[in-house]
Amino acid sequence: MTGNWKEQMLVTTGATVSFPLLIEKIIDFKFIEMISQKYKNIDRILVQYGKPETSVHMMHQILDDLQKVKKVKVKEYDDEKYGIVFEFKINEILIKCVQYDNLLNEQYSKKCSIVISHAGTGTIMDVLRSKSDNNIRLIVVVNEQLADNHQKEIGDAFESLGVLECCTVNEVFDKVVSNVAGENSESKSLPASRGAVVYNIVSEMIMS
Amino acid sequence: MNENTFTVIISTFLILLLCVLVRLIIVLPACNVKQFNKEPFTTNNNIKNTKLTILLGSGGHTGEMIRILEQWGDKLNNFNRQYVISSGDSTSIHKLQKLEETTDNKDYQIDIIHRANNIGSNKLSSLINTLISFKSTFNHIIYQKWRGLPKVFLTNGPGTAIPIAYLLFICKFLGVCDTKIIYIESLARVNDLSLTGFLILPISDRIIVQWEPLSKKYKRCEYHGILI
Repeated sequence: MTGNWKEQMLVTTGATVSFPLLIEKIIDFKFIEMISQKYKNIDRILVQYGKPETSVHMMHQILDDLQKVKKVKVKEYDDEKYGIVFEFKINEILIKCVQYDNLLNEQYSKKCSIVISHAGTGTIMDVLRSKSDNNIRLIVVVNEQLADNHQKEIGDAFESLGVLECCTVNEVFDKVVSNVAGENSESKSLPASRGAVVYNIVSEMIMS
Repeated sequence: MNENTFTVIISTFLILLLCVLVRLIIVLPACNVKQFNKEPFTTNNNIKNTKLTILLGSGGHTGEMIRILEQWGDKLNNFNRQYVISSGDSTSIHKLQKLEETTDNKDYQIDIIHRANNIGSNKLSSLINTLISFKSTFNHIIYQKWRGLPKVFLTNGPGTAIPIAYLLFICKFLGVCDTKIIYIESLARVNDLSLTGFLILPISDRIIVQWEPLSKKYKRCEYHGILI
């Protein structure tokens, strides 16, 4: 997946459940047009759309409209590492959609200026922990279709630390348009992990 | 049966019940008023080669546990480690092997237990499955008896932790072992404990949470910042 792109944007929805409402908002002519106007440096969008069979079906549905109405040429192929891949170009931006890859978040968020993610703790931590060297803007989108999974709580809790921005599917467009390239606020980085404390507690319990 | 014999039988029963209750109060961490330091101390003496059992639950639970253990670095070597993994969870084994590749002391073992958590199957088969899981855990514990039960059981869920924790607690109640149970709540829990956390709360010696509101809500939960 190496290439000569300038900057990229990563959209990631997690492995287990797909997030069709978010994918629909991203793979949208208006959204990508906005990106090409507002973020001149972004020339590649990487979308991770989900492992389940139904997600491939969902992708076909979303891409059908794009192919028919906007005459976009979509290349589809099966990749050993990434599953079913879809590739196409809108306004000189290359959009690559992959099913899943374990190391995707860790590896690719480093090369991104913006990451749009579902509000799962795994993905959030992957992105925030790889953030140290460059300033990635992380926008977390709450999947309101999932019952009782605490995505809103998690998103709000992290937002209150100032390390990311949290919003709903309907607010994504406005979130991305606003605050281009961190004009206003620069996001903070998360305090270092305190996992070593657990070692101390284990030792303390052995000694007691 | 005359009046006197009946009184003797009932009295004996009540005395036994009282003994059981007193023992329970002594053993139950929730009844223990002892407060631990907010800042744990840092020494390595006398902990060498003690047995530590770690549950690698599955998916996200394993992920969080591995991230925590990674931060221990060489100090992981101090323990005689036993990892408990559910049947069919190859991802956890893979992640564990990657972690253990970096340690010098390969003194660890992996034990596989039957998985209780099966989403989507009907009630009867899930009941049978839970029973098998309990039996598998029980065998596991009994087998442990000769090799020595762990000094500490470290877990961050999911539900598989419950039968193991309660069996260890019963052993502790009977005086067979003195295993301390340490539970770490998932990062996904901001305001409320998970069901596993709630069930393990009374028998757990330490409960570590990763968000401050949780530690304020439950008296026995401690917060030291995000652990992963």
